[in-house]
Amino acid sequence: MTSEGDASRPSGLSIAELALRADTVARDALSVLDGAVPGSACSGDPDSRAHCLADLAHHVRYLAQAARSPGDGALEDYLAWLKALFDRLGFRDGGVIASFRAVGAAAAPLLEAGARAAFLRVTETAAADYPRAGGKGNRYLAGHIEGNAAAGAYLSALLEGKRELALGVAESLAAGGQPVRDLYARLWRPAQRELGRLWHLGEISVAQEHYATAATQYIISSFYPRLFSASRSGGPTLLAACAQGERHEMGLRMIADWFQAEGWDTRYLGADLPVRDLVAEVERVRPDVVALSATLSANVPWIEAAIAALRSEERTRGLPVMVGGIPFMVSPELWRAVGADGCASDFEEAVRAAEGLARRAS
Amino acid sequence: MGSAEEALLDELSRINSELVNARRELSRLNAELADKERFLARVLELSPDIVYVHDIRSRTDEYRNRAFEDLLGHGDRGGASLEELMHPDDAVRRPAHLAAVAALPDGAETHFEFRLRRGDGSWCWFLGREAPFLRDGSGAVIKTVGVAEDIGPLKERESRLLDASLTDVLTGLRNRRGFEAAAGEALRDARSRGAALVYVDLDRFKEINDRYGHAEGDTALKAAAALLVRNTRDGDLAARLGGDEFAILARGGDGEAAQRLAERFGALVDEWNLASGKPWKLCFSAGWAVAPRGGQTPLADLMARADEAMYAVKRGRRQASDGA
Repeated sequence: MTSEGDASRPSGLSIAELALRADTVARDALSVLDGAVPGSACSGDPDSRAHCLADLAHHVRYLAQAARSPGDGALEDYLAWLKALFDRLGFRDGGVIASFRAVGAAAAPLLEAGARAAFLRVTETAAADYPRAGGKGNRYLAGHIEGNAAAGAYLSALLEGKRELALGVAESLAAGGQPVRDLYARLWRPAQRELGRLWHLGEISVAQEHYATAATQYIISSFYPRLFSASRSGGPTLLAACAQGERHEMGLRMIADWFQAEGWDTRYLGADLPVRDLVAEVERVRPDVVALSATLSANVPWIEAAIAALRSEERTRGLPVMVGGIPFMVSPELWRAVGADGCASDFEEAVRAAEGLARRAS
Repeated sequence: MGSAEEALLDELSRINSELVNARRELSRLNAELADKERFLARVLELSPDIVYVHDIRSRTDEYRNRAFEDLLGHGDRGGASLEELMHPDDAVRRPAHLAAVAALPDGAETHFEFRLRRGDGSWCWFLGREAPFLRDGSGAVIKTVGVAEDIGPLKERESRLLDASLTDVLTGLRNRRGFEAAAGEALRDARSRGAALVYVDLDRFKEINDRYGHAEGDTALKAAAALLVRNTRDGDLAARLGGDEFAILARGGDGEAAQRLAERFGALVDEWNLASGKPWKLCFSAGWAVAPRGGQTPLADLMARADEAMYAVKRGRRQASDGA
């Protein structure tokens, strides 16, 4: 990661510091917008102003992380995600582009010279590329369950609020001889991805998405006794944790489950740990591999801090750390920049990578 | 949907996630626990020692491992607790021992040696190590856990070693220590019917050693010992006190009996001399002393008197042979 701000600290913020002040910057950006685009959506009723503020803060965090990520992937992905969502909501490109520029204008006076140039480069690129973002093959719009009858039936049941029916689909697959591991690959992973797509397209409500996700987690958890009693092996140990506060912890948990099915002993710590508690837990468990995940790129700084803390402790310094999650997929070099030893975004790939890391470390 | 509803949904999702995480960890711990249980069950099955959990209040064993059956062979009739199988001499000490365990802090243990009856009626020695296992709300021990090691072989070896220290290797008779221990006990017995102590000292033994060698000397000692044993009844004690000195404690004997014993021995020796084909003869002097019935005669006293009597005989014999 680029080091903004050295010993002879120039006046002004680094980009990382800017991200921490996203809400302040968003308020400034809203004033800029009020002045520049009178009568825009952001100048309406209090409710839409609040939404607008939230969106601007979101831009600040994501554009800041994009500025700090190697390559163009992070920015491209954010724009594709945004475009798919905003097009569906009927936001015009012009308004979105104006908000990028407003964020740049609000941030510029706060930033140190080098950081300012880098950040403005990102806001300008965002403004220029947004209209074509995602293109025809926007990955947020591609389907995940075509031809997968079981996943289709499962997801329909959840979207109709019939959790027991969905559980029945999973149970009948298991009863038919599918190892629990295969349910992850055939059922739960495609169903979750499809759920994300439907939400993005506006075909389901936030409440439906939350319900279906919660129900799938519950259904998976009812398979845990089987998963754990079937996979005792004395294999290597994986300790997995999400960035603190990360709302999307299900993906990493499913990956940890997959490791368990592959013969690893896995500890999943959730997304509630402050960095120092994570380090203490790693010291206690002494895993063969530590896996950290962030879904929102705004949470990447936590991962960076966690790795730095692990590296600074004598007892945890040598432990291999792998990272995963969307920010690392869209910016393929980001894992190196945050100091990780490896990166993976999928079940099979994660196990292969972890096996390699564990072998190398031992 | 308003932002309040969204926040509520997010909070519900977070709670759900935490519950699922907890369920995951619980499943993992359960599997780990099941593993440990399996491990412990295997260890307990393989243990050569009896392992038990004893409930103090109901005086029953709540658990006993397979070694209990393997070592004792009671089948289903093993009794409710080890105590029921204990030798009476050990069972009387058991309550005091349990009280001692109950007074221990956690992590401490006490030791206790006891015998248990086998299915075939024989006794088996155990070394028990017992510790507090479970306490009630007030901290009082209500269950103990114990490991009982079969120390039968150890006890046997111990008694063999004890025998060795009390036995004369050459003749197989008791040595002086062995004799004093057994004879002292016999004399202290208040129900003693009296006893006669006969001292026997080989004459001219030194000549046999000097002229025919130590091997012949040993032969003479072994022959004398064998004749002494033939001359004793059950309950009598024969011993080699050292060198060429022997002793017999004849229980229930008086002076007459002692004299008869000495005469019978003389006859056996004559018989042996005729048949031995040796160029030397066994000769001996004997003297005796009597401990009266019901009396409490000290052994040392009895031995001193018998020794004195024997020397008187020996002196008389020398004078007679010198005068001849």
